[in-house]
Amino acid sequence: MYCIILALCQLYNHYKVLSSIVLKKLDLQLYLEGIIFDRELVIIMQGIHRAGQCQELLQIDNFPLSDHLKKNQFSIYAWFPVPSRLLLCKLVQVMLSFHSYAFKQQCTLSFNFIVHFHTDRLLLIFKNEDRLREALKFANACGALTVKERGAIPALPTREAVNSAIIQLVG
Amino acid sequence: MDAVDTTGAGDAFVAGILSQLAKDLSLLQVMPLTIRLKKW
Repeated sequence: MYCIILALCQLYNHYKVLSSIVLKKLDLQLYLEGIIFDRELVIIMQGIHRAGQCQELLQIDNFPLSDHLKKNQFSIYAWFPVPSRLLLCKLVQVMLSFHSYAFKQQCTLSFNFIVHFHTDRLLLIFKNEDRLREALKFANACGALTVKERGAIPALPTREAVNSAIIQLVG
Repeated sequence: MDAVDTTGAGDAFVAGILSQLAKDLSLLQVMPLTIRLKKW
């Protein structure tokens, strides 16, 4: 991946925006834009709601960049020094594996290297799966206990009954 | 488990889900990016 970006960089000139990855969801927008310099690499992330956590993750330093990007108050500037270029490659790989694994929707790769993802099924990955399983187990026990008695409303179990049934049957 | 009367079973299932959601709203929230990337 990085070799492709580097080759494009040589084709264009220095200080040009070469790559950008756009992840779009209803409430989650993640926008990555890479600018390649001679010896270092800059990533700009825009529109991320959890800015603090991204900063913590990517060890972002404040880095002065062009004005049109500074206008966006959600902009985060990530500066990767030379040794951690691998981190960027890994990040791009993760983004691309998102695409190949989770959704088979539109992906456009244009001349200036823009990858566009429409992520409808991303929600499934991002959920806390353990907690979801627990809730589903509770709901299943509710349904199962309702079946045991006649009627609809009279057969609805109490919370204590459901919890004891879960402990009894499932363990 | 012996089934006697299946009336209301689906409603009870939905009620169970909703009660769990009401107890813990974090099920509806998006996981932080840090945890997400760590899982990958």
